[in-house]
Amino acid sequence: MPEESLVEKFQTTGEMKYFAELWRRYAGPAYGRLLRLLGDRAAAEDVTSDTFLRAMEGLRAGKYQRGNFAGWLFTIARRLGLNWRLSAAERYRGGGDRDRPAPPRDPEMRAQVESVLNQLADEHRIALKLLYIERLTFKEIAVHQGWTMKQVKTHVQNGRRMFLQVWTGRSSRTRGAGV
Amino acid sequence: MSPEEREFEEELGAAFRALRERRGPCPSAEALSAYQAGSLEPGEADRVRAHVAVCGLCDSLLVRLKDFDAPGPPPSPVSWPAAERRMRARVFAGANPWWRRLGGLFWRPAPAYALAGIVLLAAVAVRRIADTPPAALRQHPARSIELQVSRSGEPGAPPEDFVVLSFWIPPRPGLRYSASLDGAPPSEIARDDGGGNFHVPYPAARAGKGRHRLLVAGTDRQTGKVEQQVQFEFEGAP
Ligand SMILES: [Zn+2]
Repeated sequence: MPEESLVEKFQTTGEMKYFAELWRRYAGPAYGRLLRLLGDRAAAEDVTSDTFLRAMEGLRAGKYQRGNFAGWLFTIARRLGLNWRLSAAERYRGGGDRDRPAPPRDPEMRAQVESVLNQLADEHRIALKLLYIERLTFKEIAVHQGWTMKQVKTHVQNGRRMFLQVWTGRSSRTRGAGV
Repeated sequence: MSPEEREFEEELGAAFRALRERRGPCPSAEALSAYQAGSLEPGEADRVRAHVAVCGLCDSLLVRLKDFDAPGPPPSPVSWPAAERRMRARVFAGANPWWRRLGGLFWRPAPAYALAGIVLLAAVAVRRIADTPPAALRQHPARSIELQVSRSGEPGAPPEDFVVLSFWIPPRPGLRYSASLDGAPPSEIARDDGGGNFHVPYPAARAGKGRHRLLVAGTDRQTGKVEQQVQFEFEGAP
């Protein structure tokens, strides 16, 4: 039965067998997406179940616009998954500021650091930001990113190396231009 | 600290801390999604861009979001069946919970008194079990564990009979939970909501007639240390 007919049958009869068929078709794809986004099996299970419960409510309340059930479902999954990650992020930051007092600001240097970060590969840039801006420990980075400790160390080490390469290249270019 | 690390810290530590100062709170899930889809107003998009430039958490989220809709490999054939069963039980148990079906009883005096009598007897029976908790375990009032039997013939039910154990334990953030039924190896369980509600499915044969014991353990996600343990004893479903 096409998915639009399943949706319509569920909305008109309220019979769970139609929703169960939608579950059979889309639980795997929704879970796979959430696992990639969250990097945590228990969290992906929580959010997949919540997604289908919301979808069930939405269908009953007539919130679904016909045409693309899968797209609508994955939009709910994406929103709930992002919320989960953002509230997990708040927990990392909940312990107050772990920093020394901020130094006198040098806006130019700050902008240059930002620009060098943007030239790095994703895993290097993210590892450095999590370590030096968020002040996460290696263990926290591993949990947050779903990386092994070895991967965290490699990404941080290579990230630092690549950063310094671009950073010193940048300053020698600046010096060269000034001569 | 290696010389390389020290050099990095000395030269750049201050600049990174200054970036942290500028970061501000993360945007909402809706704003991040819209930013990634390119559908934010230009001013709002600039604000999100400036935040992401200095936020490791949002940066990592946006990188992962890029692949959200890409076709991925099918879920692992080893862990998927159990995960699917746990999730399905939650979704379909929530759809038509037994206590909602019982709702009508409370408006009629005779069944309500009968029900109250049964609950009282059950509480007395349970109290006797609760009197002898194993050392080092906090015995949770066992009346808060409920059994819901789902027969495979019911609409929306899985193709085998199973029992959902529903219970509540005081919620603790940052813990990962597992449950062990009658001393079997523990398996990971997921919370039903942001609070402490759990609905854990087991094949009906594993929670049949007789006494059963469910041990729930909460492990710190960061340290792996067991921080919370609760044990339930209950009468299985005939
Ligand atoms: Zn952020």
